[in-house]
Amino acid sequence: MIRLIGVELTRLRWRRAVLLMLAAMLVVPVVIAVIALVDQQPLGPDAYAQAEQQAAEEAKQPYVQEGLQACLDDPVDFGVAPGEDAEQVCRDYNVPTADQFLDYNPLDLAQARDDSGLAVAVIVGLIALLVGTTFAGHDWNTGSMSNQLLFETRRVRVWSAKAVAVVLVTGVVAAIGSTVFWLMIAARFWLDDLVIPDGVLLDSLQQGWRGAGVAALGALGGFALTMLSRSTVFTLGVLFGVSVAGGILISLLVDDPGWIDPTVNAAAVIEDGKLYYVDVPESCYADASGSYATSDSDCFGEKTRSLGDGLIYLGLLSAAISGASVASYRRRDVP
Amino acid sequence: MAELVIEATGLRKEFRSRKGTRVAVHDLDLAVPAGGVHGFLGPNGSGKTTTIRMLLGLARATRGEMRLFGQQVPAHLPAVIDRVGAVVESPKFSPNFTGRRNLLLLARTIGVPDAQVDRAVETVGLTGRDRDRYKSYSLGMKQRLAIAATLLKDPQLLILDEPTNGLDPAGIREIRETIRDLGERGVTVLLSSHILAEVQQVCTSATIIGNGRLLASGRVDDLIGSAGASAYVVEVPDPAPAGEALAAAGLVATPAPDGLRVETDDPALVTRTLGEAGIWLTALTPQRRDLESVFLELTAADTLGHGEGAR
Repeated sequence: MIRLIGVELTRLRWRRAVLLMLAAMLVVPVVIAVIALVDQQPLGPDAYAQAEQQAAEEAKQPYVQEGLQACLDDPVDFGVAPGEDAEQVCRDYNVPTADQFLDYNPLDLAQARDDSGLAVAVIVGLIALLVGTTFAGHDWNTGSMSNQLLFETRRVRVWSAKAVAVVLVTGVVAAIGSTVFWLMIAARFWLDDLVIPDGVLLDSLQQGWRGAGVAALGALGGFALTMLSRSTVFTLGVLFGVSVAGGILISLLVDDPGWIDPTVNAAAVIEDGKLYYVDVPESCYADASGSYATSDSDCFGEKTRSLGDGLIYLGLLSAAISGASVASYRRRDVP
Repeated sequence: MAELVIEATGLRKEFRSRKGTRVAVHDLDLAVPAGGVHGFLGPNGSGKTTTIRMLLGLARATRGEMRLFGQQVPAHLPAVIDRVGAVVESPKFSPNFTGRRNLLLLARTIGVPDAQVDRAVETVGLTGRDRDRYKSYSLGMKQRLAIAATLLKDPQLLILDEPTNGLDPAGIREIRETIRDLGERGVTVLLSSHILAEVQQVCTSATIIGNGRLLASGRVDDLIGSAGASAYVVEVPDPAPAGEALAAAGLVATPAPDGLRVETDDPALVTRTLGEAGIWLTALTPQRRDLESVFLELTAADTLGHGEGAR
């Protein structure tokens, strides 16, 4: 088996299209990191103190106070939900904050996890999926699969060796790419002698590695689907169709998409839990004005999908696709 | 009885589609003895390639039993596949890899040292071109590479499906020599080919199938000999009186380009009859049946008998 995996790793390494995509999995994080570093800068204590001072002076302006008072007088009109802290919400709406007086967008590792870091994970994951489909599709398109089976007839071993090679390579490359991304972001802090809060860099790196794991699963899914359909184009068409039609169907038919939507579950794994939004029941609207009339938790419109739930979902999905793929590959005639 | 390298009994393959079920191989029995070159003949769509693909585990038989080297396949195919080299239909390799890289991947799959690749490349005459991309190869070079791939295993059984497709006359001759040489070295070769003259030249035995059914099988000499009466072409100065004399002796003589064609297996009767009539023949040429005529007779009869299509 080790020998077969070695052969598949070599085959993968010799395939130019795959190499280009693997290179993209490394280049994309670097490009996104460069864009983030050009657009944002780490926030030093002096800059933030100055911005806070400006915000405090602005808050004293009469128009700010008037707006705040109007909100406090009639919070419902300002969209404050029942049970919410009206004073806090009104202050959030009306009183300027230090962020608004900064000369540049602050570079924040924790925040980057939700935007550029997530973007890296998503794009790298999609490329990994393409690697999986391309790798398998080439063997079918050229007919070389039958030649391979004349040298190793145990089809489950062949399938497994190819799958291991795809998962291993995409996982490692995605992990390297995300690690480089976070180290580039962190390097900006170190260059300015700014302190990164305890654990924040590790959390960010861990998010990147979880993203690499999801990318590897995406590659496995792409590979398994292509081994099932025997065509890269068909697989990509199906994935595109499912992503479009599936999204519409989920929004139409399912109140809580958390248990079925792959994007929510993938995000739950990458981000260590995912906050998502659901439609609130009609019962939450008690009067004609549409104001919230109950403090029932179902009326909050927010739910969280945990990392564990996401892992179970992705694991089951991968197992189902792989199982169908192996069963088909074992039984069907090879052209 | 000689040991059988390939043995198939009641082999059947059905292809199901929305249009219905199509039977490509009908309860075929196949026996290939060890050693020598065995021809596997049949018209296009007669089920040759499907049979080969079933033997090699690429297609699943609907019914029937198959054995390679006495081992039941496909269940025990992994135990014998290292002794089997095969080219099925057209060569199938990765077009963007060089010929050498394609062979290296296959060699490493079975743990054969890379040096064996060099030897195989040299054997098929691809040295110097093995580092070119496969997609730049001519059809003949692709066939050679496919044969090189079979040689990586040092096989005891070689299954070649139309190995000379696309080769020029020199290439065909080389491959023929290679096949004959392998057969003489003790390798059993199953040669599927349309070129019947080629099969007759190199094969010691043959199986003929049509519409997925066995039509004839045995030694090539026996197949030719058992297929009907012999004939002789008689060259005489004046065919007309010769024809009358032969007819009077009860022989069937018909005009032929070089004289008269006489349907008989007794040449002495021809010379005696003509001599007694005072006609001296200038040549008496036996008209031996060849594999092609046997093949055409058998497959034509089969086509008339069974109208079903097969692959």
